[in-house]
Amino acid sequence: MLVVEPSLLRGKIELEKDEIVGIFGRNGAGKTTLIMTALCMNKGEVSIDGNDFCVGPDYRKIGFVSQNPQTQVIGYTCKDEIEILSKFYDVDDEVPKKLMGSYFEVPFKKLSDGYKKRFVLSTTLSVGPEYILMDEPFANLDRDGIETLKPAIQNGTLLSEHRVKEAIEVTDREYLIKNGEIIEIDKDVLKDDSFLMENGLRGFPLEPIQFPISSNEEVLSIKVKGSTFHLHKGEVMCIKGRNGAGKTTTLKSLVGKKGVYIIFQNPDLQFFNQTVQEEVKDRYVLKMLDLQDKAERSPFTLSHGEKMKVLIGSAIASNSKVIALDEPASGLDGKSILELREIMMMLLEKGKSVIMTTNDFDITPLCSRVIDIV
Amino acid sequence: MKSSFIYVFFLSVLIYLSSLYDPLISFIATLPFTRKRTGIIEVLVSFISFLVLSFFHRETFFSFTLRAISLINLYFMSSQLTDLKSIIDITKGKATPVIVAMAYYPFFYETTLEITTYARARGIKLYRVDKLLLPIVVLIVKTAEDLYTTVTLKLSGKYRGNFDIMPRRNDIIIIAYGVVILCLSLSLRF
Repeated sequence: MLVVEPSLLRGKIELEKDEIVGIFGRNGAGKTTLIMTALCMNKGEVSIDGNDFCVGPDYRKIGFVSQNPQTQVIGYTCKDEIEILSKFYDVDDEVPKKLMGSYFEVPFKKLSDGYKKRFVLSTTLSVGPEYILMDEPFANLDRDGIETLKPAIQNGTLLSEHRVKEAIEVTDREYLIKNGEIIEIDKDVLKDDSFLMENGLRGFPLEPIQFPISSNEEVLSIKVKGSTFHLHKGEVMCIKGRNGAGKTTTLKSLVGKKGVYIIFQNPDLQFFNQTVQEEVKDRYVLKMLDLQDKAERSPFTLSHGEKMKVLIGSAIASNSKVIALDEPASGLDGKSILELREIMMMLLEKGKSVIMTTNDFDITPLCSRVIDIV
Repeated sequence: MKSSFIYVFFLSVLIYLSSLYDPLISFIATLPFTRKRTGIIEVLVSFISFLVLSFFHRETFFSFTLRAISLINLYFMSSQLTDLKSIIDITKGKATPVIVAMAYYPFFYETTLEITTYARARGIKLYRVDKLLLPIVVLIVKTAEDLYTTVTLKLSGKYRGNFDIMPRRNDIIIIAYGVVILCLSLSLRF
């Protein structure tokens, strides 16, 4: 049995070899901290079958699949990666061959997002670890990607995840990290919308936005896969589609258009100033978004939800008529999604129009019109 | 097409030698290994350099421009052609930083391009290096942390491969390419 007891949290996690365990909690609750502790990269106690794992850790026993597969790959293809691993460990290439199928020799960068995660998971499994740790495996995946990945998740896995509904379909036991404490919870409570809302978790249905009678004032024409659509004042136009369908490319085509402010997926790559105040530039907007106490902080040090707020704040302060959001729900917990809903309503009240790309069904109630890229 | 590090290194030496005799040939020889956009920029830079040097009657210095660009391209070429497994074998598993640097060059390149797109979307001029550097530095630090984890977990076992010097088909193709380029430079020079 793997037992992890992080110094920064109260309580511990236990994982048997024949079960899949889920960890849930809000952004910043300590899910990644816990996983890093299990890898002896944070302070805490880790034991396997009663033996201290962190004394000369043998990483053949614990495998890790991070949220971002791109930074976990050294080889060009899965076959390549297996050959590299075989220079250091005994490797069973049958597992990755089976999990990757015809994609075994396809270059990593040409794989779909679901298969990229399969790539990392299958190469990790090839070493035959006793336990696997997965940090937000379903983040940024569309339905197909999730269904591609789910069957590859095996017993002995500890996974931290925001997408509660999808995760509890594969987990046997569940833990909640709340106020610095690790608590084991019953699966049924994770199906209770009020429990999810109370604990800032995702999975509850979002109340649709009541849109006023739509305005005829056209603010932007946008080309989506060759067809032209017109965005009107006070409208939230959602562009849905699979990973790789061309949603982000559509938004990129708007770069440089006057009156359009685009917020892409990775907030860290979009801060060009030292403080939140310099980024947003408008004290009134900071107050409106409840960010005034963070004005002097570096935006890079904020939680994911707060980073999104800073970017939206700079969009509001720019006085742009149209705000475009690329997968805004990605990496957000339930509380942050509710905040996103409030901010959207605020934007619409101010007469702004919104374009949003998403493959996340949780936030479609925020859309007044949906364009599906098939 | 991937090839053993030792033969890619050999190709680089041959192209470098070729640049000493005819920089234009070596420059053209490295162009197919650069990305399309990089290649176009390099050709433009060379052209502008030629015009400026011609204006000041210093055409002889143009060979330095071509040689410098060729040397940069040799790095790109090596990253693209080298089979990382061969570096592991040559260094008996001790060249982890080299492996990581070569494996992540495309990742950094693509992310830096993304950052410039985001900067344009914010109306930030691309000469504001102070602004552009901020997300790039954060990216480097974060990626370094992730890579440390990856390398620690994936390559911490005891190396037990072996180095095979016998050239394979791809190795022979690139050696031949290098020899042809050098011969061409020499034949045009003498």
